[in-house]
Amino acid sequence: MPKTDCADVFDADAIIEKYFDTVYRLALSQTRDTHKADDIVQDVFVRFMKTDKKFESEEHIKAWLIRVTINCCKSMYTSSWFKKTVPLSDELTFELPEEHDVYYAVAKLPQKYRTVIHLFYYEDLSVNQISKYLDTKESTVKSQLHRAREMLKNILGGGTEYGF
Amino acid sequence: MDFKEAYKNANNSIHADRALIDRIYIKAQQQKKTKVINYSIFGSLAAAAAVFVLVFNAINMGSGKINGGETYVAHGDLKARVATEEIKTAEKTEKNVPNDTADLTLKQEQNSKAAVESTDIKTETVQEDVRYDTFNTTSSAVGSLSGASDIAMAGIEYEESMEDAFSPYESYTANEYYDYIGSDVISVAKIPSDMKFEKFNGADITKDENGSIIADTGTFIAYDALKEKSITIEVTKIPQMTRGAALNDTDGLKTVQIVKDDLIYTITAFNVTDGEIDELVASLQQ
Repeated sequence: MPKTDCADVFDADAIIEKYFDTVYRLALSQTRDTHKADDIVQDVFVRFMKTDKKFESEEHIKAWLIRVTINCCKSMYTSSWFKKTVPLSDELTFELPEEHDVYYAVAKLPQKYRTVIHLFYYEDLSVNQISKYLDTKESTVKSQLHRAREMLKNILGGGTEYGF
Repeated sequence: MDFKEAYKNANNSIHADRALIDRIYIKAQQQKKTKVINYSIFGSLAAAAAVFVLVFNAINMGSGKINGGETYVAHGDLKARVATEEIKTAEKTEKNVPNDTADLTLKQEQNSKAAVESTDIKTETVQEDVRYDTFNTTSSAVGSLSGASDIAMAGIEYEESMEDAFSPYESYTANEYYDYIGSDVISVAKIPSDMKFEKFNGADITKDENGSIIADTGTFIAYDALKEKSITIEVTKIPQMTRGAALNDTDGLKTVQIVKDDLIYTITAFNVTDGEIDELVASLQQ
């Protein structure tokens, strides 16, 4: 399949509309700050609109968006003002208490564990896919998932009701 | 409700502010306009300068001042050389074109040339801009867009094009990484024992094997902060100490310096709260 500019084949508006929340949710899980997540979303999609990248498929676009989101978040970590970031406050409301507990339990994890948990459980990516997205080894992803689950168990008080 | 379902439901109930979409379009449009304005100004200046040189040359030709240009060349001035070449070109043109139309023809030619140059400049600037974006995104000097395009043209498969598009690694200095990890750092100095045969900046990193103790295993990434290059190290043994290497402890970071061929490799190990050494930061000093 010949590679073409995304603008030629893929409708940029439709892509933004479709993956807008995906990028935002990932950014929020990484930054734990709604305002910073807004900034990341804006940055990612402006890059998307400007890129000359040849996309092969919509799946390729999604992968690109996820990678760029993670990279933008990483860039944010290294900036001096990021140190002032406070953990996610209880400003988000959820329908069920379980959803609240689980979401905030994940928010308490170190950044690298939040990343793999979000990609694995929310984006339904396989370990192999996550390792490619994060450019790390599968064994590392497995290890991080294992450790993240252990941490979540502790945070959720055993986590038996969540299938841990 | 299991964890996955609860986490999915929780995330699905979170929505970004739709007003952001408008801001994205506006910002993208603004950046596009800024580029166009820059090109226009630059292109206009280039065209104006070119026309000026042409008119100046044409006047000189009419006044028979070609020798003045040659005198400049004798002084070794590069600009004068270029000017002389232009004058010589004009002289040739003058022979073929009637005097009263020479100015117009030359102006047309130069304007055409300026337009092409302007286009070239635009193209180059766009490429640089995209490269800059790539660097911003990746923070890593791995390849350039032109390289990525070449690879894409060559039909290399999906994964490789992904490699070029995305950052393999962020490059952190030790302090930046410490800031990032923050209170998670508890750290014990541990240096991978199998680094002996690892290539780093084209040089072998040696490590004394005495005193090695099996402490942990795993995969580690070492970063060359200077060249933003990275290597992956499979660790099977981790020694407590390296003989002959200085072991430092600063702000919870353990570093070891290995001297080899007058080069000093500084390896900083981080150990996060769950007991896993997360990453290594390596720098090189001469």
